[in-house]
Amino acid sequence: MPDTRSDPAIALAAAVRRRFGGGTSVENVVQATLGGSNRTLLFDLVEGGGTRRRLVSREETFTGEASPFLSPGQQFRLTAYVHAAGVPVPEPIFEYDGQDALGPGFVTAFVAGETLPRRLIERDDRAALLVQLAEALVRLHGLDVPPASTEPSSRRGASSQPIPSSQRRLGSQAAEAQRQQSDANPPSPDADDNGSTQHPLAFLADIPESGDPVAGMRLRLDALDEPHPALELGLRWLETHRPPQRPRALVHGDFRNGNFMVGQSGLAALLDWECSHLGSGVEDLGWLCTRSWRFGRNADHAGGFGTRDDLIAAYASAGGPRLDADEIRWWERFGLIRWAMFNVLQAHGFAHGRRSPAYAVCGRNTALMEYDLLMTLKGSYD
Amino acid sequence: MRHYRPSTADLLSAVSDFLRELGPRLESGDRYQSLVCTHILAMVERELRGEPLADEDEAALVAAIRAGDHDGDWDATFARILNRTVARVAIAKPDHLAPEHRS
Repeated sequence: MPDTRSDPAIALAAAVRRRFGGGTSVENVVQATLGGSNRTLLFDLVEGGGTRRRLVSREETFTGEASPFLSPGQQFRLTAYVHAAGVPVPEPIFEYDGQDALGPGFVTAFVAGETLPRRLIERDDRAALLVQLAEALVRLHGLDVPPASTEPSSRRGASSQPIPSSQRRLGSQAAEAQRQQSDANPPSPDADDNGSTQHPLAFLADIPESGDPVAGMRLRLDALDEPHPALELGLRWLETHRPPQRPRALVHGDFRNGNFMVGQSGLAALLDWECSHLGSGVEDLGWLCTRSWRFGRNADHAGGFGTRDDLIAAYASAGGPRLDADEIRWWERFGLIRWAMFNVLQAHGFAHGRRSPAYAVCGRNTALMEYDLLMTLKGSYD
Repeated sequence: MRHYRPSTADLLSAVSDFLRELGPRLESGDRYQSLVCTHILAMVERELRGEPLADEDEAALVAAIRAGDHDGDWDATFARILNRTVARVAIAKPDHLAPEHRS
């Protein structure tokens, strides 16, 4: 695609020149056909001296109601934090602001590799990949995190809260409002109104997912206006069989096969940080093992890469605690409920104007996760 | 009042058959959407040909489970919900069911 043909390419070139100088140009713009609620553009940043870098622009094009996802600005700050700490992520380059004709969104380095789950689990080095995944998790879960929120609501968490009904279905207007909000609240300062230093991830402390997982899940489900007794049964079981309390850690939140960029030398980057929150690190291991993410290799619980015990051993070898398999299983059950909730969310979006056959199917597919959940609780599935 | 032939389910399967033939001739994005549409029509056809799901106050059931009111009759409640879930999966994607739940 010629880089001057479409509006996004022109806006992209302008955004790049604002930051890297008039001598820079943007070439080889390709729009990834991922769809969903994001627009992804791949491009070359060519500087005056001829230095060429492949970068990725990611913009949020749909701001749904009751969105459980971090805003692009929050994702940018989060990935900058973990990148600086040595967790493998695409290097964050810059964030769009109100003067760009793009966004909300940000630009990162392009990382080459494979993400397709079925291809990854067919690789000969899948056992080594599981070890690298466990090492990345131990590093992530060892990072310093902000203290638990003491105030019931803070401005910093506001944009990840459900959007009030008065703002529903405004589409681009809501996105614009969010953009203006992020302009008024620039990303760099880490000091609050009183001038005291705040943890760069303080915004994570107030989102529902950073609180009690069962209560947070009920909050999300109740907002979606459809009763699901199977999910409530699962939540009741979780509530009455809680694992021991863990220290609060930074949780990736979508750590599953499909969000791993794997290059020739193994794990190159962890992708999709929009569900990050604070909580038990074991949640990430449980989500990796959740039955929906095994891609048909149900006996290789850990994403199809290896067994749950392989994962436990790799996590301990990398310096993490040696976990009990039942604690991971608790989070797998939570994971099935969570994946069901995301499907209810898509169906809710469909009912409120997001018409697409794929979203329509999600609503009915919720029964599949509920079935897996009940079969797991019954002991028929592991 | 009775409509002339074909039945609603047969009308749907006529559209499904057409979409199934059309799919491979489309470009990749549209081909995927057409597969999803074929899947949806097959689901609707199963729903039309099967028994309707019985009415149940599921909101009340959710509230009762949350309040712990079914802790005492957990197994019976579990079995009732599993039956209903099996009925839903049988319409949405019957292949997903374990052999013991396939009809």
